[in-house]
Amino acid sequence: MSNLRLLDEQSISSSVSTFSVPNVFTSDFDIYQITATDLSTTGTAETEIWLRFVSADGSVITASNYEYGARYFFAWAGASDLNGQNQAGVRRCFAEVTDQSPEVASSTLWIFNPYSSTEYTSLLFENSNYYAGTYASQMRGFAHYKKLERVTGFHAYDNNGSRPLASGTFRTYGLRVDS
Amino acid sequence: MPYGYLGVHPNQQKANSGVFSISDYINTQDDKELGGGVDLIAQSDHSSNVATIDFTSIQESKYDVHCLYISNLAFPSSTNRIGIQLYESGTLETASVYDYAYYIGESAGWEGEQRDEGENFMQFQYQSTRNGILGGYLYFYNLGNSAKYSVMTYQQYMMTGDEAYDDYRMGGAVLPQASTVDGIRVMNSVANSFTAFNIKLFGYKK
Repeated sequence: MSNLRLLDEQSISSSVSTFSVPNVFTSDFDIYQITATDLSTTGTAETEIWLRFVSADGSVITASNYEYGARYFFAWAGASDLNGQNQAGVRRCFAEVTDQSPEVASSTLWIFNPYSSTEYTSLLFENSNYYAGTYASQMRGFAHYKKLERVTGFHAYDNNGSRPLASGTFRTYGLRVDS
Repeated sequence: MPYGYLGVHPNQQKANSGVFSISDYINTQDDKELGGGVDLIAQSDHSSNVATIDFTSIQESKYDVHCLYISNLAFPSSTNRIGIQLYESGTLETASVYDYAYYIGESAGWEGEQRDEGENFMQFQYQSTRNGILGGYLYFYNLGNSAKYSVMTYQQYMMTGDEAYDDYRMGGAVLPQASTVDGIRVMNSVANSFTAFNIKLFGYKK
């Protein structure tokens, strides 16, 4: 029996610019894994998919308390770094870039201590993407939500609010700890 | 939580007391809450030296996230490039259609990247002069979805026999074809035989 427990599964069923998964982080687990598969948009515009957290009251946290660093690799060009301090979200966390199906993006995230109000919430992420009919990219990075606040869920959104997400499935797993 | 265990009581954070009845078991299984969230699909352990290691029963319709854990994959010198090829509806895709890119950090201090478009496999390691051992994990997404491309992310370590080029690599790859992928092959570019390996394939429950 594995130690990862499937806690929640949510899929995008119609075009939206944002998608929230609330009430998945609880006192039951300290460490979570999230898989996001099959992320694509309506239309052909290249779109980044960012992350925010959902607070204990159910609201999406938009304050500029996110910090992140990452490197992304392209099959067609040299790699680049990405970083930000005091940002309003974690840039390109779920997808470096995605666009229309069948060219999809998929990702895996680890979330640490989200339910703790005495420790920052941290995450590691990696994603793989294909877009514009020719571009393959991969990305790996980290982020911190640097406020001592309990968060209970997460929120995916496109980078400019006008390129609706057409598909995607988010699954949340909790890492069980036995001594 | 209404369910529990007979005998040893597990130490987990969520209170868990009581005994499973048959209906509890069935209902919990139907709710996908029985057992872990990751299932072992297949395992391949070294019994003789082989140039390719195939996983051809990957239950692609049951899982859309697969994870391949590689430990102790040993290769001789001049093996060159090590990577992955995928089976599409039972046929191994060997054409120059894969794209990949990854970062390399070497213990000797050098760092860089390797990448290519239109390659005939998903390269994740390249060592041209030394024998070595590598390990790591690779995530595969959307393999069983015939309407979507298949993508992969990974990270791994590699130790050369004389420790001259030990490295760490991270990156990923894409098979940019909408197809049903129903098999995974671990291979290398010169068909050298792997001399040791232990590889497990897991599926993430959905």
